[in-house]
Amino acid sequence: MNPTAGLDDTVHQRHRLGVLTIAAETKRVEFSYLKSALELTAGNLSRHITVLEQAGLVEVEKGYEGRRPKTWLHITDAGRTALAAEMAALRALLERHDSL
Amino acid sequence: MTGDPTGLLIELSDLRKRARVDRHGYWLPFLLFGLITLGATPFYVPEYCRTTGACVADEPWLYHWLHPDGRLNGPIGSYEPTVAADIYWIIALLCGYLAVVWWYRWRAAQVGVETPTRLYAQVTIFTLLLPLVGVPVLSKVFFNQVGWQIALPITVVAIVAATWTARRRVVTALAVLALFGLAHFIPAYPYGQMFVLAAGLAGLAWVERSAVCTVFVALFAAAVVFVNEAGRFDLHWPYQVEQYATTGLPAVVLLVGGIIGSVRREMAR
Repeated sequence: MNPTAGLDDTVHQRHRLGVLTIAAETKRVEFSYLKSALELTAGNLSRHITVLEQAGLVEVEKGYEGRRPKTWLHITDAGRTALAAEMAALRALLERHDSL
Repeated sequence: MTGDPTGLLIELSDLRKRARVDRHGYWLPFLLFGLITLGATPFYVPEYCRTTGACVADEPWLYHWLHPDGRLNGPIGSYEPTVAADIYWIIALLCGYLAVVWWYRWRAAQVGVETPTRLYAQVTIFTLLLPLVGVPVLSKVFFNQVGWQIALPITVVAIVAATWTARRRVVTALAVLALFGLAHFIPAYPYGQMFVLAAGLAGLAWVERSAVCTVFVALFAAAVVFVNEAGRFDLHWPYQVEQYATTGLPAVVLLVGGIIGSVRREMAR
């Protein structure tokens, strides 16, 4: 099978891949942490998170820390599976590229 | 972020490492449990046994409930800690557990990434509660009545059945069996509650995925095994240090680990 067939358009977008990678490393991650780590604007990050949420790969939880609103995000089981599949596909792609 | 696959994988690996470093918070539990271990020192002063020579006979029913098969000797010759040590550890470990869970939530609010503490919580609660309720009940009602030849296989089958629906079925069943075995031995050891601490911290090291944390948990576990097993091999502390060494050695390991972890965190900022 061609390794590119394993790439999922929803996950493969590099910023969304970054969001999933950080979320998979943590129990939950805060919106402003992602914004800083991925060097994205709030609007851009929101759009990526909406795509991931609609695909069922992350869940978003809004709340308050004192008076400050906070948005937390955590990865779902489907998100972990999709991320693992994407990483495997990327590595397979590289291996094939190196063996050519 | 880059678009080429090699660069992308490297950047994702860097992001994962950064999130891991940012979420690390083991240094505070190390310092807290180091102090809790040091705080147990007065409960291990062996003057009472030396003068009366009959510690166990004078102990209340709670002591016999918690230690149905008596206790082994530690590195302090022919000394068994009193029920006060049990009560101290139960309260201290419970408060320490709650403080650690609160700490990781508080820290998450500060840095934006949270370490999952469920495994730590499960291991601590399991090893804390089973010796309190499960081991005395199992020892008195089940193992002593039925006989271990029948009771042990039934227990193993029950644990395997209870963990059958877990995501990692074999690993979970083996881990629960190991913790069950450990919990069964905790009441027999003179410093058995330190095994609860070691098991909980091993769970913490697993979720933290930090080399420093893992090394210090391994050193702490080795120190705990030593202070609990030393009596079996007649390895006794020198008289000058015996009152402090059984708690001091494991506590120092945790305190040094906590200080190193804290310094590393400051340097990573």
